[in-house]
Amino acid sequence: MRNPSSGFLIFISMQFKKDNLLTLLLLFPGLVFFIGLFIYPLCITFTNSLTISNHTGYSLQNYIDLLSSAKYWNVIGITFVLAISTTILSVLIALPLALILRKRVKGHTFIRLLILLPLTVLALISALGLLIVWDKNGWVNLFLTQVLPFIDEPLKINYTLYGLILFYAWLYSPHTILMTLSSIEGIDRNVEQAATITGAKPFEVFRYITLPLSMSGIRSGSVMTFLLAFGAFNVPLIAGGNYRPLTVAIYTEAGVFNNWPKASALAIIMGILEIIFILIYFKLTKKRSAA
Amino acid sequence: MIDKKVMISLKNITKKFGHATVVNQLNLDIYEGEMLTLLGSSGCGKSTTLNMITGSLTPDNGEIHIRGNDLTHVPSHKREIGLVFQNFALFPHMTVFEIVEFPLKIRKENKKERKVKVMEMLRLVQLDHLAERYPRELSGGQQQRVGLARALIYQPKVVLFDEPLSNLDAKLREELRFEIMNLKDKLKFTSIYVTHDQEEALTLSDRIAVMKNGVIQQLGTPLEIYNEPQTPFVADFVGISNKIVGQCVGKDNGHASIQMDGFQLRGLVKHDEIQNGDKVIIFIRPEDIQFGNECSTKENTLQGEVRNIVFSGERKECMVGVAEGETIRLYMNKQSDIAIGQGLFVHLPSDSCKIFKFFANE
Ligand SMILES: Nc1ncnc2c1ncn2[C@@H]1O[C@H](COP(=O)(O)OP(=O)(O)OP(=O)(O)O)[C@@H](O)[C@H]1O
Ligand SMILES: [Mg+2]
Repeated sequence: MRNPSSGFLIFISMQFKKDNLLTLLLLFPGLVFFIGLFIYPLCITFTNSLTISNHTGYSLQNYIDLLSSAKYWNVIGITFVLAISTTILSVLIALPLALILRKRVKGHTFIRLLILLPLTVLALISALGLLIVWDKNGWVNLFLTQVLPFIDEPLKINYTLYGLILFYAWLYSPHTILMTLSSIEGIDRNVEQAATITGAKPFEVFRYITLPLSMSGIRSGSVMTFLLAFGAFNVPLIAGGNYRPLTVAIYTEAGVFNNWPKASALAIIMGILEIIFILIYFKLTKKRSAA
Repeated sequence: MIDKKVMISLKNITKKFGHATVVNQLNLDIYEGEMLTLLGSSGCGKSTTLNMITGSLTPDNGEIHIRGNDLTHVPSHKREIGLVFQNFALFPHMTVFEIVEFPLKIRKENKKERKVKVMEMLRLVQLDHLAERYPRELSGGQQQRVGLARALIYQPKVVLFDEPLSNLDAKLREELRFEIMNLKDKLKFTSIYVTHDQEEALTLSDRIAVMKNGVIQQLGTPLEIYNEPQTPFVADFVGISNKIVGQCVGKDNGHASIQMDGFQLRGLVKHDEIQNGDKVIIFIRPEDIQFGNECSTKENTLQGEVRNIVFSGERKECMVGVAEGETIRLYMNKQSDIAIGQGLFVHLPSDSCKIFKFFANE
């Protein structure tokens, strides 16, 4: 989103220069895509959301209906719970992992490849695979109940909220991990060594040096994870059970009830929520990485 | 140096990386209040030695004692040592004030006292007006002053310097060198100073340890190191010397006669066993060479011709060709009106010619 819009700014400023024909030509495909595939559908969706099926004219009725219904607040709540827990989980996985991997321990290249694995498999396939693995009679539970003597009951993972968060984490934490890893590996080891020599215990070095210096990576990675989790569709559709986030609700309105205006209004609400959340998130994390 | 207390003691330290022995059975005592320089070329194990003293590396063998306590296996953060880095290693997300305050903050010192101490230290390194700046907003010299302040604020008894000035330009280097000396006089710490700059070593140190391949070649005062090199490496590495390769043709009490292509020189043999017929190398410093327009027919006097003159500011450096393929470098007064092509007699006093066994230059 950032690139096309800054391209647009360049486009505007270019208009005041003389030999800008080439620049314009080079920008043209990008602009066409940006306008055709993003701005235009967004406008359509927005105007759509202001109509009511089988009626003429525009009104905010869809928004009023949606926002005064407990059912949809519930949907919004679930969406946030899923996205935020996934993001937190991803950071909790990413930090220790990055701290270990940067020491280039034995087998670190293998683990690095493993991190990429969820990105290479289609979300749909992943979801199906995860359902099979974590099934009551799946590999994990077979192992737990048959091999470990102290576990008799199979774990209930599939179609539970925890299970869904687990699946999300598997699919979307690579982004946080990769960004965290690259920012932590970019820290000058001398800087941390300097802190140690002046007397800082390992935890203090982490708290005052390593963490603040890797904050920018954690931040951008976790935002990606958040957005992906917020907009996840395949996984909750297949593996969500009763937990239906916004994406699934939109799909149901449009695909099942054929109520496109209402689906559009939900989509617009979803977009606004995302933007608000990211603004708050950046504000909150900015203090820590101010440097 | 009589009756001084040993502050740091390295006992038989060895460190290997893979198959390479980087520090080899190093023994070294540093006295209280002393500034000792580890001088050596790049890769000879100076930083590795320092890192073992700070605790960033653990020696494979040997012990490190500070004030008589064995610290070999004590973690870095408990050693109470100061370190100044070559690349400054400041905390990029903190202001100058916060960086210098950091060691006190983790020592949980009272906030008001912290502030007083930090400002005092910053005044000492002349940075009190820049306390709110970030490292990236400072010049290299200013950054290294912050590095100094951070290493000194918690009053460590031992302060280590790892080529602290080598990222700075010549003028600043000299300025900061004097500042480090002043700080040392004021705060009375014991220090090990690592450098590959022999001028820095000569001007700063009480003693110099010249290192090569993880072994100390010679340990002594700057004067001893400069005037009495014990190995050809030290003679070659410290200061500038003329090197003349020849063959030993005769010996008499402490001196030897060396035959070169077309001329002969007498010199001092002190530290190497030399036999007749050995290939040897003579070191003589340019400033020890005398010259004139007349030949007084003394021994070690050669006739030559000025081949090149370089004006270096404080003097003129002449290259005098004395034989086929042999030039001798000597220093002249900057006012001298010497010209290229001029004939000249050069005299190499035999006691200034130091003879060592020839060594393959690596
Ligand atoms: N972590 C390491 N792993 C493997 N080899 C290393 C490591 N650290 C240093 N070395 C090697 O050990 C040797 C000595 O390194 P050291 O950093 O002590 O040199 P130095 O004397 O400080 O040189 P310089 O003047 O360039 O800083 C070098 O050959 C270097 O390649
Ligand atoms: Mg070094």
